[in-house]
Amino acid sequence: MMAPAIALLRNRWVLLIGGLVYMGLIWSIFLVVNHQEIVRAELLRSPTSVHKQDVMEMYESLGRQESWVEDDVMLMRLTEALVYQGRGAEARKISQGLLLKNPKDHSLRFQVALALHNAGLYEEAESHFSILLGERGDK
Amino acid sequence: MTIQAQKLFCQGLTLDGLWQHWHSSVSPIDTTYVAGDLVWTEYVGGRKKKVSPVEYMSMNKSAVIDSPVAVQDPELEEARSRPAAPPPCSSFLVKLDLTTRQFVMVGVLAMYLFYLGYRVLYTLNPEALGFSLLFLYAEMHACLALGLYFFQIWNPVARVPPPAPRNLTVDILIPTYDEDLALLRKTAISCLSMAYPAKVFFLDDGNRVELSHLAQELGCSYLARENQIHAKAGNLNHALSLTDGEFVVVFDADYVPHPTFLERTLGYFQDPKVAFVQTPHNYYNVDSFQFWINSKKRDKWNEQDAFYRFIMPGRDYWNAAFFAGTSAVIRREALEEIGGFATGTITEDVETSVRLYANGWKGAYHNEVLSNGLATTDLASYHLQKLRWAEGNINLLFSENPLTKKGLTIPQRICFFATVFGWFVGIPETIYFVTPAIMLLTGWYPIDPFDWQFLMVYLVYLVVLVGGFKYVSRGYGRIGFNNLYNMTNFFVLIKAVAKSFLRFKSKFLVTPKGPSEGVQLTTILPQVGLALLCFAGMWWGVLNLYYRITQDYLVYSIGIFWTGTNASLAVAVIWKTTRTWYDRQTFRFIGAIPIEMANATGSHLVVSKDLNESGVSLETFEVLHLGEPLALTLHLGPNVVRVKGAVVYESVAEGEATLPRPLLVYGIRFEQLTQIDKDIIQQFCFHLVLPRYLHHYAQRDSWGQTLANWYANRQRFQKRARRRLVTLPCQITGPFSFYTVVNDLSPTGVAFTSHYPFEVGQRLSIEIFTHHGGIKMEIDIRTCTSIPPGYANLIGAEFIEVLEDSALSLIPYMQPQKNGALA
Repeated sequence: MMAPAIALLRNRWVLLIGGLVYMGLIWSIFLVVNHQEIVRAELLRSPTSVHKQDVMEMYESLGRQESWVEDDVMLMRLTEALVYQGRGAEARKISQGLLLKNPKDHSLRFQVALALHNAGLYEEAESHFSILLGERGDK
Repeated sequence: MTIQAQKLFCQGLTLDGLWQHWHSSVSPIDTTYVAGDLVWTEYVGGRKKKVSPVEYMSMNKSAVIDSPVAVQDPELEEARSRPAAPPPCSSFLVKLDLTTRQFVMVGVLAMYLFYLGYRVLYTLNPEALGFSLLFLYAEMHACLALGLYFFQIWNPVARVPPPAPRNLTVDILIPTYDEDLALLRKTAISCLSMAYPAKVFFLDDGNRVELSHLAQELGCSYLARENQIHAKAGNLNHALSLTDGEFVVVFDADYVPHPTFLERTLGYFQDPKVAFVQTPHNYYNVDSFQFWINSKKRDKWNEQDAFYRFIMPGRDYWNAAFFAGTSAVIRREALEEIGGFATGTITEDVETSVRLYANGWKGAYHNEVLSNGLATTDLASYHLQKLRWAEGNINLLFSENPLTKKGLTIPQRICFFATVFGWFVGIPETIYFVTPAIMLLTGWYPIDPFDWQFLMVYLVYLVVLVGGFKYVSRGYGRIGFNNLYNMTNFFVLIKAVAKSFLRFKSKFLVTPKGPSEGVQLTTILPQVGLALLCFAGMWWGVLNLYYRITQDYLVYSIGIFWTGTNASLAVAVIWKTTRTWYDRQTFRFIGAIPIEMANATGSHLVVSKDLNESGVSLETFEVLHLGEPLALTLHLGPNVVRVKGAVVYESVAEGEATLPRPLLVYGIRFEQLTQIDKDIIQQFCFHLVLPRYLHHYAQRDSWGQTLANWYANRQRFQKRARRRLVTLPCQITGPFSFYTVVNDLSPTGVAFTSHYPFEVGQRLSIEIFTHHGGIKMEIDIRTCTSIPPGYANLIGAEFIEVLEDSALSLIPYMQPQKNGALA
């Protein structure tokens, strides 16, 4: 005689529904645990498609997480996302921070300048373009 | 079966007659010990010497087995004097084969060590050092286990049984506690049917009056004691104090020996230093969950086979085979010298063996299945058994530590340490099972960097390891099945290690051998938990890749694959062990025998699908109804049993497109069967049906040997017409007339099973019964292959005239053979 629990375990419908529920549960846990990682990955892939709220959350968490500050590429993408969402002031703060950290990174400065220009912050952008041109002129 | 016994058997016997003829039979016709490609090693003059079977037979030609009740029979003498079959290939090839395998073993170990060196030097992950080291430990553990395995199988010995000396006194002891009386009856009857005389004792720790009555009825002795101190070992020691045979044979309650058991084993005691002779354990209830059977590929796997058919002969080379608790003969003098069977342990067998070896005695391993027992039928009982064995063997470290015990040789120390170490396998296996899932869930890498360079090293290592392991294991190295075994037992083995090292007091618990109790969820919780962990890990890994959180596609892909493999192992174990395997009270032996079935519509000759003393399954085209009474005549070799029965279930056999109408399967329950008839059916099942079934799944030649055999017999193969596997009743008319069942049929010949060993060239008549009518032909016997242990023969015969076209056209419409249901 098969025990009721075993009979349930061998029932295909129970397995199917249980399996789906289990997968859903794992998925939910995954989304909660890896929320920031998912946003980061999304940000790296396509800064313009990240949800507004997620971008602001990331921006707010900057001050709390040292590793974020170290991750320049990510900050660059965040800047782009903030600019895209009309958060120029926040974007400027990050880019300034970035450039303070890497004042001789021309590529970074160019990207920052381009992002600011695209966002309509022409004055900000121009100053960076000038620096870039000036440095080139120096050379 | 001896010719003398065959003749008596042919006359139709009562149970008394059956016993008498087995007592009077002397030796099986086929005394050749075929050992495949193993090295022939024999003890000559107290020293190991390699001899061929032919040499061995010539050395022992004068030493005719002389049983006290031997019957002189010219046919028997003629059979005895037949030359032994030559060894399978020349001694040079055998030696070359062995040397090659030994070379491969060394090569595989060298590769393993190189791999471990690479792992230690380049791939330890400092970011998850604990996890990485744990995984490295598992790999190192496996390396040591492999080294110990190779040591044990370095040179497997195939012994040729020397003739049994005359007039030895033997006591057969059957310790019992609460086993079913029907089970004990089978064991006792088979013990009483031994060709070599012996006294049979029931050692009853259950103090059952009904067992004492059974002993009285069968003519056995009944011994009981007031207490059950030291369980089985105590029971055996109590019996030793009350008996006086020079040799003691131990059979567990469920082990049914062949009549030749003593003849095949007692000869080894000609060497006065041999303390015991162990024979393989073999299970006959192949419907137990422990078996993995593929009837199409003729493949049968049970975890015990590799140990008893391969590792034990290997250990025998080092004089380190051990007494395994049942199916063994032990010299009383040796036992008395060490104070009887070891007590204070739950595995008295291994500990007794260690003590015997330490006292300078020798052991012998006779690698021939001479008895069959019952495998546990549900997972809980199986785990109970495994836990006892594991605990007992690990406790050997604390009681008779083979590494420090005085008197053991170095190889014996290594072999017995391997016995103990083998039970620790649960620890590394658990690490292997959970590591990939944990890696996917946490992002901890056990191996770092896991790059293409490492992957190349790993792949080379894996190919060498798997290929080498399979090659040196001679067909017994089944990695997939071993993993299933580990998946089934990992938790129990860890539990045993913990209990042993925490010094929990262990109790000898009798392994239940009755019908399955069913599996409870708690029994498979570790596997369910592991499956859930693996599925979570896989899904987690997939989500990681989907959301592009990780860029390590290589690592994650391999991790997901590996986790999936572990999950599938867990699911396979859960699915197999929770199936309803054992509805019947007793096992049905799978085999086809001819049965005359009479009902209201007339008499029909049909074949069985399976059989035991309680009932039979029939395959027929005739339509029967549930509850319909039947009169059955069972043709059990030369014996005929008439019995009444009733149809209790019906089903349709698996579809065969060529059949004219559905082949029906009916379950018949026997009614009013006498005890004598039951005993005759049981004996027939054990000694003819079971060996035939096991022979069907016997270890086959390697592809190299198959090719060599094909080349040697190429002309025969070229001439052979295409045969069709069918199961049809037939009647053989010759020196003896009897019914049997056709195994296969072709336009030019037929194969069938016979209890009688026909001579090649002998001419007989055969009538094959189909539902279209009978086909009567004259046949010429071309081959007669004895099925170990010698009670049944596979007969290949050619028709004198080729089958007529009309009969030939019927062949595709005949009853097909299914699931190894052989005659």
